[in-house]
Amino acid sequence: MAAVPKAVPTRAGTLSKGARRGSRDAVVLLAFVLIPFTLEMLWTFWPALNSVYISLTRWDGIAPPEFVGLDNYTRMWSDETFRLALRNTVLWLVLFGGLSVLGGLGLALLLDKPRKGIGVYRAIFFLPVVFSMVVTALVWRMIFQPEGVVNGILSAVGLEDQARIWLGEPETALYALIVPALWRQIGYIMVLFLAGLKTVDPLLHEAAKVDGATAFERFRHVTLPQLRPITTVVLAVTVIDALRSFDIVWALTKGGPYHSSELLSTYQFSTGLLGSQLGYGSALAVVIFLLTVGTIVVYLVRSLRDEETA
Amino acid sequence: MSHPIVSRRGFLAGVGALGVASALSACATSTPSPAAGSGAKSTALQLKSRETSDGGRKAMQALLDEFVKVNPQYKPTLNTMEPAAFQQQIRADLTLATPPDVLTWFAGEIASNFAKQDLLLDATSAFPADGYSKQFADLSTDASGKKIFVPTNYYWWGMFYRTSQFEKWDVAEPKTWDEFIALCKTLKGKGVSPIALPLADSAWLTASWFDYLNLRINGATFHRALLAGQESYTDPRVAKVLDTWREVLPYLDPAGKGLAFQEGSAKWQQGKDAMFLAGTFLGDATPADVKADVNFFQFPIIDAAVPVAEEAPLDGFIASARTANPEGAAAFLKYVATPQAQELYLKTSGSTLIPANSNAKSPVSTPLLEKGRAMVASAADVTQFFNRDSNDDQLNALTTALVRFIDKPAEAGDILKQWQSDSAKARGN
Repeated sequence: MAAVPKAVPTRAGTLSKGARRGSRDAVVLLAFVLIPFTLEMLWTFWPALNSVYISLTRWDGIAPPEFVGLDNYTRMWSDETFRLALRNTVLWLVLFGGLSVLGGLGLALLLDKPRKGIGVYRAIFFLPVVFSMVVTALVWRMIFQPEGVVNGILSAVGLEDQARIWLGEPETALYALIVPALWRQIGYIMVLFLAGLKTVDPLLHEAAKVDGATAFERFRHVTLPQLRPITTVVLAVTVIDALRSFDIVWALTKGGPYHSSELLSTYQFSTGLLGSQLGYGSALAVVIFLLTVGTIVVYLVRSLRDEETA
Repeated sequence: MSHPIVSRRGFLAGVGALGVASALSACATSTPSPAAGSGAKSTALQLKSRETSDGGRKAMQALLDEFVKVNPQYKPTLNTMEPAAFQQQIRADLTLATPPDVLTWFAGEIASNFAKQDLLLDATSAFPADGYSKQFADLSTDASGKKIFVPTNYYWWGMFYRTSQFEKWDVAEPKTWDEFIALCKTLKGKGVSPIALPLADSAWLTASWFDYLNLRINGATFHRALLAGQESYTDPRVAKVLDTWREVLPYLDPAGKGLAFQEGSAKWQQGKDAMFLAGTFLGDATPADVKADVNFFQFPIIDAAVPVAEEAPLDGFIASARTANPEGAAAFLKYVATPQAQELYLKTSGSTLIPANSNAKSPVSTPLLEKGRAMVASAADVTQFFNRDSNDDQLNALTTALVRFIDKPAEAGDILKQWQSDSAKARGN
């Protein structure tokens, strides 16, 4: 576009100047595309492809890797810890993902209307997002300790027999980990939905009210449909965050006691990085990648199809 | 204008194919070949250390300072890294084209494996003919008979307690397993939790119980064979270890599974838990006024017919085979093997460690230290520690099995089967 001269050139100089500007633009444009592409190839795709290759080998990090084909993948099916980690990851996705979306949406609806001091409330719920995950873990470690806050409250209200070692027992460890993860994620999802709610046209609400729609009907038929674009973002963010959850689990239980709170991410870390089974660890990483991409693609395809039929 | 017709999908497929093709040439997994002997010589000498404590760092620097006084032609530098990261990176460090020249490390299977892969400098010329016991010399030798490791100091494991607390409760050190169980019963009767075993961040501590029980019941030879994969965890002899351990489980502090090592050792220090099976680092972490009160007894004897073995993890130095300064690295290894260097290190660091060279004297000799030295010296055999005698993948399999056993002792049979399968998988067969 910029290369098209506005008027018929009267002098040759103008034309060549315009053409030169055009080629410079093209170079800049090309650079904008190629430089990030090269960097991305070098730092993201290249290592990712390498790890696909490593997943087909048995390798301890020193000796030459031994190509074993799909052995690492077939090994997963007989690996009880892998199945446990997979089950925990699905449970985590459903509970952590589901509750954070519901909780975030609920809070956003509550805190949407301008009111006195509303900023303070929003800030309070957003605050956990600001803390680093390791600090969050430290705080919750103290809360969950054998003589910590939770057990203190339980015995104060006469429920001593319900007191347990929350992070140290296989029955409770995973759920005890979801609580701090939710505590943080809900604030984040709330902010996303608050932004989404700002795009909802208030006139539609008024019209619906005049037509006699109840508050729930207005939410169901006016608010929700208009939140669709932001919901797509929230779902993608949630799935990615759920599947890459690692820090809180690692900081609090390292996947223990005896793998009961193991997620695929922590299992991958302890086999591939702390241990020396780089091949098997890479195969686990590939599975996590496929799960993440798979979930998101399925959702995107469905929502695009819905939009087309709508 | 005509565009070359390349569909987006076609383009991506092309890029992908290119990527896969070059990935298959295995760039990420290739290791540089060992530096040729005729390579560039260097006078720089980098020491990579995992001693992060204040005393440990100062002591490493003191070693380098003394070394350079005698060997002014070298330019040493100290690079200290947090132990977990150090351990994770050592494989990468040793395969670098320009590796750190000398590194802190420990005796055991991992060092032998490095040697098998030609990653370690031959330290035979640096190893003194006199001063090291046969045990320590053997632990420093690889399969081909050359020295690959120079030990500088060791510590020991034992059942640690506080003298003043034992006096207060009016109890004495047990010698045998039966006396030990009786002691636990007495302490529990007095309302004291007998044994500390914090597991929240230090499940690896369970390995010390397994090691000692197995050494006391089945002896060091079986223990080594088991760790090397020549015996199975489903062996009835291993089941017997768990059966014996089961007698102690009621005396473990039940809060232990929710406590971190720091919290557990604080509880022991305050006298809320009576005994703690640990290394000397437990006492080193206590405040100065408590140190003189820290005492220990030998892990009780279970079967008098089994030769007594103790855990005495041996620390020291290795040098990289790819070093650009092999003379400097060998000179440094030679220096740290001397009694003077080992005394200097222990004096500066202030840790409860025993010099590995028997000609070296402990600069600060405490009754605790002498007791530990005598115990290790009288032992018929010495082991390093579970993960030093095997590796960290095996340690993972162990903690999974033993933490579950503490929780559900009735499932012992199932646990051992799982352990054997995890262990074999980690070994890759």
